Amino acid sequence: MRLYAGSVLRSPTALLVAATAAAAPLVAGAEEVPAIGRVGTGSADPVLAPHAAAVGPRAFLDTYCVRCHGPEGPRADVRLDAGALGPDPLAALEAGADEDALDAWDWILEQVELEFMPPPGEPEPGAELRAAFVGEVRGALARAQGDPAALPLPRTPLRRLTRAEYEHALRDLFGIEHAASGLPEDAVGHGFDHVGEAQSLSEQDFVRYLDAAERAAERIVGVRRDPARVVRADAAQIRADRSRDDGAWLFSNRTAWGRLSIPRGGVYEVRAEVFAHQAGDEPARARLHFDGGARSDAFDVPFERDAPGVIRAELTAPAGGDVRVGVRFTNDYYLPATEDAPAIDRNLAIRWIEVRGPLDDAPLGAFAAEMAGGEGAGPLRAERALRRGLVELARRVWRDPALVARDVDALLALTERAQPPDERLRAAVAGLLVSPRFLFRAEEGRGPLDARSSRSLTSVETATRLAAFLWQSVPDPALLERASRVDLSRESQAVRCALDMLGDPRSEAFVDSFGAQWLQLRGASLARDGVDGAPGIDRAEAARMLEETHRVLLDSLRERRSLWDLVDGASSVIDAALAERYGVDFPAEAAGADGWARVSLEGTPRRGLLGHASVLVHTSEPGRTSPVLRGKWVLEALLDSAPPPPPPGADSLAPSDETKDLSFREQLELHRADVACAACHQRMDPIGFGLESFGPLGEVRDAVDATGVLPDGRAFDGPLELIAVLREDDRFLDAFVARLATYALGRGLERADRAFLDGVRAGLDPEHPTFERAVLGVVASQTFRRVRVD
Amino acid sequence: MPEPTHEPQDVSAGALRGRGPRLSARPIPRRTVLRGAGVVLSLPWLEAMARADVPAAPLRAAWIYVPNGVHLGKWRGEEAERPAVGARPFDALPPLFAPLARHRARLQILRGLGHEKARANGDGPGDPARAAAVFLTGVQPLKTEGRVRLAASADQLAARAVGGATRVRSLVLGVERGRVSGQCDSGYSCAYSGHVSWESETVPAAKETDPRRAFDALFRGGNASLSPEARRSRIARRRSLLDFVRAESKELGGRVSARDRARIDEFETGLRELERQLSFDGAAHEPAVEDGSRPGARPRGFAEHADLLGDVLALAFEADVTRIATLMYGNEGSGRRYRELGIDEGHHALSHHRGDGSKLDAIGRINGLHAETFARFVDRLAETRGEADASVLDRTMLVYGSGIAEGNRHDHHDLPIALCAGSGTGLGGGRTVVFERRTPANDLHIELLRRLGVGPVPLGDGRGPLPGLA
Repeated sequence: MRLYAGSVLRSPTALLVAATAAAAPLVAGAEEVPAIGRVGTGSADPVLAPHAAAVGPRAFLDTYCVRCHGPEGPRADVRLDAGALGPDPLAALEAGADEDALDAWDWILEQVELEFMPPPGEPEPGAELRAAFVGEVRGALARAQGDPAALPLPRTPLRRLTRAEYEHALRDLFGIEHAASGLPEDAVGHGFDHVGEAQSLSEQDFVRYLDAAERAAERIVGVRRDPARVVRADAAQIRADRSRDDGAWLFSNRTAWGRLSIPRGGVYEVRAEVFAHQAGDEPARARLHFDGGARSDAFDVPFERDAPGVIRAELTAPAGGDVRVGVRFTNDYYLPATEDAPAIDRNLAIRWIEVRGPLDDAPLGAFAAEMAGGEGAGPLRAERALRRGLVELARRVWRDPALVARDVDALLALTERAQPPDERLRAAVAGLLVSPRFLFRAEEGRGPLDARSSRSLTSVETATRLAAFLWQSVPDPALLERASRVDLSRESQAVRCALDMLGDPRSEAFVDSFGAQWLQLRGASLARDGVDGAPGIDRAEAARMLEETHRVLLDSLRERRSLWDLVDGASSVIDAALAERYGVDFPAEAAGADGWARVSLEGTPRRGLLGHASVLVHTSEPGRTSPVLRGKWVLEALLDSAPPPPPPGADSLAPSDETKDLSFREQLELHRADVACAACHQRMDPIGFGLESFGPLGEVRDAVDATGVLPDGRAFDGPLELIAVLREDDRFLDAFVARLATYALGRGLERADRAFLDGVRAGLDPEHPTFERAVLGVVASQTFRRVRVD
Repeated sequence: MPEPTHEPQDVSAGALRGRGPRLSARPIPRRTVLRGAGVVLSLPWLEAMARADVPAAPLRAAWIYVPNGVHLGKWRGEEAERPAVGARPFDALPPLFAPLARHRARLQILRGLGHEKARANGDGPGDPARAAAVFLTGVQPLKTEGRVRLAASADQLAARAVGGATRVRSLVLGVERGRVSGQCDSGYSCAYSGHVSWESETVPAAKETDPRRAFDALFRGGNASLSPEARRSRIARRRSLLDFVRAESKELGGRVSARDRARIDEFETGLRELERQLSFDGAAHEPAVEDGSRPGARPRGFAEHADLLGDVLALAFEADVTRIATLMYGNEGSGRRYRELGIDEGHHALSHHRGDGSKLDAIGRINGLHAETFARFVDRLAETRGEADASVLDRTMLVYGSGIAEGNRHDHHDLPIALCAGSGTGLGGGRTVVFERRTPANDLHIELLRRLGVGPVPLGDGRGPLPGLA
């Protein structure tokens, strides 16, 4: 019933402080590191309570908590004594609890129920007392918060398009691939980069949007009349027979080439400064031309070195890009020296070649031509077509099928009527893309308000949420059309639509974006130098490691595999190189054309995501494993139960005389004996120890101590047993649903979301829970399909 | 507003100055060393450089932030843990400041300045996030992963008060982008550790990490491939677009809730910024700054990246495009691996050195790399001619420091902060200045703001201008 505490309570300590502060002023400044309490034994064996059996929550807290969490205790930053919480704390909770107090009690509940508290070495209440306390707190919490389904629907703050969504929108609305690299950075909140609350706009950001919109409009409409630009190749950059200080020389009838970059094919003015070593009875002659294009007439080049001249011609370049432009020497003349006379030699020198242009109009692009009523349409027809086309376009880009003609007047007013249609269109498209109607996803809903102060999204708003969730984009024309044909705000239609969208290749962006952020692998740099001659991980292999994880998640969705496979699945999707690294046979005949195949991992300790090299390397330090990082990753990513970071200064693993000969593991065990550190490390470290069978490069290594004991006493040896323990309870599924819901809603989860989360969770088949079912469960929920209005 | 008596005849030089509300138009010095692509280039001789009637030159200020604290032994040298209050000339420069030896007379190492609001004060862990957030604000950040709350930072207050005199009110630069996934710091939004510069309570100033984009935004109108003709027509187009978006935004603002209205307001600050740029003729194009100084696309390694950002900043100061800046050598808590130093472990992990000699050594070398980079930036300012035959450095105030003193302790009192300021700023040098313990670091910022000509403004927990720096 409960759970999700990890996602709802991001900062348990701070919340507890808030809750206790309400009842009594804090004694100790929380920033002072608590003095170290009694050193525990690290043993999981229960130590008998010194007092008689505690009765009631007050007595329970007094007996098992207050020694540390009392006014004089080492953890007085979190006070649980009568002075702070009152003589009957649960009665106080029920009498009137704010959100902070409820969160604080949730946290207490989790600490006790999951046996994180009391820490090892402290008096242990035993199963019966623990269960009684947990039951009472849970009951009080339920009464205090009332029916979660009746709480007001949490607000979804106004969201703007992220960079990825913007790029995908251009693809889905205009069919262009356009890297919008200058857009505002997307801040990460609640683990994802599209959470509205975390996004802010700096005063610099509008200009960034404007730049992006103008560039996109040029791409979409095309540019007919480029501003003429000049590019030049100097003598040193011209390939001829010989390069000298005074120019590039041709000694025979050949072409001297300059390599220049021009925007497109079209008409250009080509100029070259030339002179010649004159000989014979006519001046030197030369032609100009683009490589692959027609040559100019031959020019006389009567100029000498001390007074070079410029020849020029308008020529057509066949194509844009890097092109060669040449000066061809056409009348070489040579008489070898005789006894009577020196050699007579006519040679041509080029000092530079310049290209200016384009000078002509490019043809109207297909999009612009259509919008302007066809190439060569008269002004009246073009204007009418433009207005009609813009209405259609604005309906899509602004996601507003009800938009009418006068709504685009302002877009047409951006330019003068007399301007060419492509210019008018470019300005209008830039206007469409820079309007907040495109950049923001405002939701107003429609219909009556319910008891949760919410109302139904409109059909188009639902489509917009679905597109953000499943395509990381905006609705494309087909989805908008569907939204106007059927009412997507109805559960059955929304679910059917979501199912179709999952089948579209664009949903791969969802799997990638959600998966990489959920598993904290986005931007992970896995390349490692080899140590002592052993091979490391090069960039290509690092990319393949990330790809394994991506493919496994994609497969999980597409093949409707059990979500539990992500925890203990005995196969993975890898290529031959990863198979070699993992020490398993790669069935080449089963591989797809791209060289990847699902491969059995039986006979190895690798199971689920915890066997992925991506995860194992990402959670290692260079050259050594880090049980702490690995344990922390499992808690954060797989169990959604992030431990707070260490108190500063308290985490001294200082090499002293007594400890310097200990292994890292032994040092950590000593460290955990410290009560201040134990609460978190007793959760993180054992998990990391269980994964010690994998080295820092993700390789299996033998003869390592991979034993660990969880706070609740469950012991294991090696990854397989660890994973079996993780598999025993349902926290992974709870965590998965919570992360997925956060992603889908684009906001942090709140207490009022619990019924929704429980609903999605309950919708999973216990025998075979799937990714797809979880996605559809979210989509089907009221929370996804309604919006808070007030 | 002083106007130059000789209007430059060169059209391109005229475009340099725009028509905006500018207090001074400083000639571009001829000898400008541009390190962009490792090539030394000179700016062309322009009419603008020949002008003799230079108005009283403005002051400039930049704050340079280094993450994860420092190796205090190398920062402080032989200094006592708790030296006596007062100013003392340097005997020997501490090891980290060796690269700044030639600017010794302009350098003050400040002791005793702290940031109380970076301590937990009941908010639990998250010192790195707080350290960066508090550095220029002196305000305790709200612990949240969602909507942030802090305060406008010192540089942005200056940008608002006096930055309007230049085409760009302030430059906000950094070597590292924000984090792209995962937890940032103990329940604090990533915005805190990635930004020392804040426009308002809720908006961190957009930080540019790409030197080439920063250059293009400053000197190429945001788009290096535009011809002058295209730029001119863009100005006209943007004027009408601005009116259009204003109307659109107003319409949307009327439909959303009061909470969401704040987002629309942020959007509209961007419209006002564009309007400001357009009032400068939308120029944003400095033909006098040549293509040769345009940075390459993908800098490699810390030094090259930070140098290029420093070069862009120096150019901006030189061309008087802006006078206020922040530059973060790393996000607070940065885990950068300085492989160019042969250091494989992340900076933040190293900073929890627990007294381990080899880790401390690595920290010291990373700090050294940062200090050398900073010294090259100072050198560059000192070598560039600014106003009235003095260097650009002459009227520039530079703060270099961190919001954490010692990474292993995460402490925020007696922070490593140094001040390097040209002689034209009126600030002294050649000494260590020790203040009473717990003197708010904000007092230093308030003093700099005062010198910049910003009227008295409240700034976090600051008490007033810090005396004793002249």
